Amino acid sequence: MNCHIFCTWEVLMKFRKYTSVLLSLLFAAGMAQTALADDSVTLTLGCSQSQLPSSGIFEQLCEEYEEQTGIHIDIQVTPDDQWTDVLRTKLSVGEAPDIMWADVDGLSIVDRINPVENCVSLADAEWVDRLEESVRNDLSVDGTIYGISFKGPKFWLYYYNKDIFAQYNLTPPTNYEEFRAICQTLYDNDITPIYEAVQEGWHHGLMWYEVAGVYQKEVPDLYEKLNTNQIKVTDVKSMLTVLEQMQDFAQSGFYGPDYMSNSITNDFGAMADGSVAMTFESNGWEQQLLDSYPEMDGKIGYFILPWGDNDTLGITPTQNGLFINKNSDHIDEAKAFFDYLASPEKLQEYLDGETSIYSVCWPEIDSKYPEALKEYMNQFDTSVVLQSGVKFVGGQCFEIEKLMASMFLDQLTPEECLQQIADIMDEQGELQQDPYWVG
Amino acid sequence: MKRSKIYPGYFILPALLLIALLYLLPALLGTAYSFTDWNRYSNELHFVGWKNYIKVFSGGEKYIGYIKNTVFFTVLSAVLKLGLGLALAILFTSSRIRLCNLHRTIAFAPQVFSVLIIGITFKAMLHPSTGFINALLRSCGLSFLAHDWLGSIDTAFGSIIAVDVWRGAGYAMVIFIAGIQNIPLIYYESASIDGAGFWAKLLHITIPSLIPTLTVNLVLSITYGLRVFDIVYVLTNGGPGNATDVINTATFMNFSKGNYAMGTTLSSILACATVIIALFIVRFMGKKEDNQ
Amino acid sequence: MKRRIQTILQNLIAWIFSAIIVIPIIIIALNSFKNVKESNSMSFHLPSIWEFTNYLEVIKRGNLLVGFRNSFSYALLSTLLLLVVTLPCAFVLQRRGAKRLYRILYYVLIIGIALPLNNIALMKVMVGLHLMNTRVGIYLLYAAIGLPLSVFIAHGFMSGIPRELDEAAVIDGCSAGNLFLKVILPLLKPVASTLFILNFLNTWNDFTMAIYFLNGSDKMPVTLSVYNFFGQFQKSWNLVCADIMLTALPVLIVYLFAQKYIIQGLTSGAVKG
Repeated sequence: MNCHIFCTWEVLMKFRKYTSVLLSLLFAAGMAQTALADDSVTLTLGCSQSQLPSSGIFEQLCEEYEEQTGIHIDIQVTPDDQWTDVLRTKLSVGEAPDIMWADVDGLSIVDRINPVENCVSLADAEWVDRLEESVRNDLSVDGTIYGISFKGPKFWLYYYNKDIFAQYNLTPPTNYEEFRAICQTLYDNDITPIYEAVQEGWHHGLMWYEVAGVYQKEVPDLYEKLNTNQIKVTDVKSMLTVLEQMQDFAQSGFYGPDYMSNSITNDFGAMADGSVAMTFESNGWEQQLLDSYPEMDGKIGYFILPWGDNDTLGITPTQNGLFINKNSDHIDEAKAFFDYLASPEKLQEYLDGETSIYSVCWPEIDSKYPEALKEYMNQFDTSVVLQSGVKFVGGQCFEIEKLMASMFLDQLTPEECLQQIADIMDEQGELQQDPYWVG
Repeated sequence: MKRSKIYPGYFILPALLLIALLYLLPALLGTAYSFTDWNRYSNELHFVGWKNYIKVFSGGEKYIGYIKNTVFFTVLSAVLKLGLGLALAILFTSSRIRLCNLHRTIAFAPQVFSVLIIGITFKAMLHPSTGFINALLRSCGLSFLAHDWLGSIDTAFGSIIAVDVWRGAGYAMVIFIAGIQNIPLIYYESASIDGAGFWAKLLHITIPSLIPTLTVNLVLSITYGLRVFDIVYVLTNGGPGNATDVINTATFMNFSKGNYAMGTTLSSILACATVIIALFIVRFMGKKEDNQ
Repeated sequence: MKRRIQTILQNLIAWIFSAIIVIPIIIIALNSFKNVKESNSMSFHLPSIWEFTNYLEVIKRGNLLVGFRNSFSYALLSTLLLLVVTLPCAFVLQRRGAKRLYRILYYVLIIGIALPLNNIALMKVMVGLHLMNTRVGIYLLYAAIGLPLSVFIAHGFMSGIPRELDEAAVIDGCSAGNLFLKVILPLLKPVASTLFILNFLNTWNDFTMAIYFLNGSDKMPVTLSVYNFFGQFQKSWNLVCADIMLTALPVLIVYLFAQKYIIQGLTSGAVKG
């Protein structure tokens, strides 16, 4: 075994001259390969793992486009955790791909991708007026639109196992007290009431963000006031109440014994085998569950989040968007690609091809919400969720969520947690030199 | 023969150039930036003096907590790695062990895997319900020992350290083995003749002779511990809450938030501390060796 | 009798330690053959059906052929570059170590062992040197990262080569270049092998540098391919494990063949320091 290394080394040394020639050839070959001129155009598209629809429909659309036009779309996938940072870094050094798929939801667009500096204006595209209005606004800065998006709005619900509820004579709660009572009953009968996954970093924070309708009811024009630094989150009593409720659940064991270490992707199995009665997931989850566990058909119900006696449906109108790099050599081709994706046939194909979404953000394409869900949704007013409407929350390093985790484990009181959230927001306001913070 | 002729200075130029450009220059740049308000949101830079450093050392419990965690991790993991490494080295140089080479090979093997892989694997193994560790404990009737290893404040840091020691003990062991093999057998033989037992030989022959290798291991472990990032990030990302956040996870968080100046400040503080501590160890151990 | 019990006990302890090390590796191997649902728990159980197709799927979806080519070229070329730069440097530093300047330069070079890398500042430098997102840039970067420890180990090794050899060669009329190439270099086989293997391993396993300094899916190393199989919303542990097996196998094989040299080299550096 030892001979191998020796022999290779000796051979290399003996034929040093030839070795160095060989190496330089390899080197040159490696270089040449990358520099090899391609006659056809290639558009580079940078995205994160979870932005791509899981069914592969996006890759399919890209392939069809290539068949049609000869233009190849090179999809470069970056790990979820790093994508936002990597994109910013690449933009700052001028090395970003032609097309960038960025996570932007309302106010974060400037922070995530700074379109005025980095992106091409799409104001004169044919499809701009066909795009849903709130999405159009979210993808614009000062009235100019820079991005395109496809997914319909996202909202979160508690999904529950109907059989378990029936077994203990439970009905979906309409307020917090009922919610708590249901969980207590389940807990007393050795069933984990709710599946939580704090280790993911982002999941548990959504409970607080998504019931923003409650906060907006307490303080009219709440978002306006928060965004102009007229009030702080510590001034909103219901925000504290919801935090207290979340902590109460954690310390009463309602999230189960493993809630700190669970993976959210395991909730399918946990719901299917009946060890857990409820899970907190986004629209389309039920469809995905049925894909893996068809025996659960008809056994899953849902209700809106009851935290703080919430009675609105919180929605995130825009979750991400595709933008064109200002420094790209193929701006026209990228624009043409967007036109292609925005054509009614392709939009329909997108919706049909992806099971986990119910609608696209293009009013001309009918949604495929199940009737029952549609009826249920129509009962409620909608409200834009906190992270889409308020500045300086929803940061990708999940600082706020970490505070909540500390609160679950009794390292912080809810008051301290809320105060530190306010501090984080102030810190960002000063860092970003927001005129309302630095005057 | 003229020294400079047969040992020409230009032999060292490429190495110096590489280090200067890709190591020292960024470090100096970074330190320079730490005296500004460099951030993602503006292209202008303003000089702010010591403001960032003051914030770190007086910024309430947050930053001090990160420093405490880093020190705790460094000391504990170094002690355990070196202790275990030494024990394994002594064990696997004993003539009574069969297949010594196989054991040594296995002990060093974790170094061959990337931290990402190790993180993924151990995260799954340490899961409270489905993980291998708890399953094993339960099957042995020791279910009272089963914890939420990475998810509870009491055990999170210990678990990270355990994984890190699992990975690093083999490296320390290998270096100790070399040191042990360099100790002339005559010392042990004459000690045996004088009636010395195992522990006496250990304390009076083995350990004193190992001071050079101990120094190397100590420097490597401590500098690794102070700069640790990968393993903490992959296993807990500083959680639960902020319980396992160390200086480098805080640096990363600051870069994420766009507060580049604070990020480079923490980096610079760490660089300074690491270099000073490393030099200190080398000198201290050097003196000990002189006293032998 | 007492000795016998002690021997058995010692051997038992040795096996326990080895088992602790090996168990996680076995778990990965087992789970790489399960289907998605079974592999979710990453348990020690044998798969109910052995899904060998996992490996094929991983090779295709993870773009592993391209990834292997990239990882191999980065590891090989940056390590060769490292050797070319390190060995002469360590030689001169050791031989002229009596002079203060050279001692200081030695410390400057090995300070990198302790010094953390400053990613953002480094990126600015790479852009300034037009090395960002280039293969050459990555070769230089990996070589620079491995340099401090390599210089340290090589320096230690050099002190074991007697100066009498140099003197003899010079008397015979050797120039500096010839002295190094013809006399010294052949003696450096062990440490060169060690450095080669250590740096090859480290470069192969790296993923942070690739994320920040490389663009383009055609330049991705094989270590990042694992991310194709798990993200925020979807985790296919069986494919992740199969990917880990495929990407770790080459380095494992290299290690098994050459572990003697790693140990030799590490120790020569450590003992002579």
